[in-house]
Amino acid sequence: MKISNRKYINLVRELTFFNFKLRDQGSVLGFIWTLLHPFLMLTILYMLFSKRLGRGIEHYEIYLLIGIIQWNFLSTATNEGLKSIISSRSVLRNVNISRTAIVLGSVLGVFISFLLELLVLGGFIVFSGLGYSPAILFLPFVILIQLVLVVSISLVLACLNVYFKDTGHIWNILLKIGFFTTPIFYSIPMFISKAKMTAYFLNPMTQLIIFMRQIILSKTSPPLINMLFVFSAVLIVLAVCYLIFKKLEDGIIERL
Amino acid sequence: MIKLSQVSKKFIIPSRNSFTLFRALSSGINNPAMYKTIHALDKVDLCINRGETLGIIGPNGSGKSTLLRIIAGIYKPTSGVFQVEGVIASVLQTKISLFQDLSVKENIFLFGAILGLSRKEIHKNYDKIIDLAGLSEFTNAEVRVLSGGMRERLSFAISVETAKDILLLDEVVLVGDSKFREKCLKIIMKFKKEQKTLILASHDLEIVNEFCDNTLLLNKGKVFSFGKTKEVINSYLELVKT
Repeated sequence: MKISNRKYINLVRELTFFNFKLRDQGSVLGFIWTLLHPFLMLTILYMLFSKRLGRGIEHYEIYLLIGIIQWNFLSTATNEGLKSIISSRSVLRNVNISRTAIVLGSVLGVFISFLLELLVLGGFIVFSGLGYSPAILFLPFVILIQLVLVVSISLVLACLNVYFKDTGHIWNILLKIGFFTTPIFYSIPMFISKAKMTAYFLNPMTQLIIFMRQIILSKTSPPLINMLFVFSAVLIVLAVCYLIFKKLEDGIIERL
Repeated sequence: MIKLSQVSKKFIIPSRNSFTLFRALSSGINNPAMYKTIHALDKVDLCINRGETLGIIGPNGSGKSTLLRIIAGIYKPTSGVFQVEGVIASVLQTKISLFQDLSVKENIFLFGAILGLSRKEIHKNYDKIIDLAGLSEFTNAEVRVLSGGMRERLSFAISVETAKDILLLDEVVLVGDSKFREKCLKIIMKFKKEQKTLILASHDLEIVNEFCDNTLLLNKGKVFSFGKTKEVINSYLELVKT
């Protein structure tokens, strides 16, 4: 069944709304539970590292919060995306529903929480007296790049999780490694080998976190060429992930 | 119109339930010993015109549900071509095809969107769905707390009341109590009158005989017989005897 763009958008919107509602139980209290995770992480990491790794970093609490919120979005959304097809098993086996819409709906459900967390971050910025600059106008572009990256990864993970039952375990190990190798609670050391520096910057999350910190903390726009480079790389990742998804898609319903 | 030409379906599924990446890599991803092949349908030809009611009968494992899922676009045939003109609504497995954590009302809206309806169109059908399902007192209850019968009625009501052109039913008219069954049969009659296409896979020969113009008898994935319902039912009874 081919569905028009309007119907597809309508379906993704409904799925997003219900996924968000299910995650946060559609209530203020539910949303507070969701917020609790990044702020608990902030408290712990701040207490552990502010004196050592955070020394010399101005507004370390904001610096930390930016990294945590961005990483949390990657981690939560890809995990929700990973489970999305399996958890919609009964529906997918009985109704011809777009599989990409299922994955998109679950990622966008988390994306709403991410936007709300950024709003709370905005409150922190005002409260800390940091203030804003016109560079903030680049923030939506950084958010868009991260969303494209998260959707791409989720598409592949959602399919692989149907084929291989240990996909979730492997992905969560990779996320743990990623958390410590991405400058979330520390800054990239100045004097490291070129190879190590390249390894840091091959990780798109490093770039995205640096962009957001530059916009918020340094109040300057990241170099446009760098942003366009990362955006192009992420678009290539999306194209590759989409092709993998299309290749695996036909077999997933039979394996559910 | 629905047209299938030489449609075959082969399932290649892992031979073990717990199929992990570790196991696949250690045994070789394309190692044939890791998979088993099931031939569910074998070169099926079928043509159903608009407004026709078709029955599909056959012993368990004959390929009835697979055929319905191919027509619904859920499974892709391994070989052959099929063509469907019109929007399909399907009730293939009523017990579990709802979002368990969402309420009755939310399921109606979400399924409406899945079937390609706008919120406005769903609003238009909302009361009819609730009425058919007999769930007016449970609109805000989560589906998981409903009884099996209630869930089946809801799933059936959503599909039937929102079906535009083609409705695929798999054994579902047998669900529910006699009152609900009566309602379902009335709706099927109405569906026929409105010149919509209905495909019904069932073991209930009485219902197939009552509602279906033509019937297809499948046996081990192959077309055993196709034609007027009475004649095909006789073939089926003979097949079962042997």
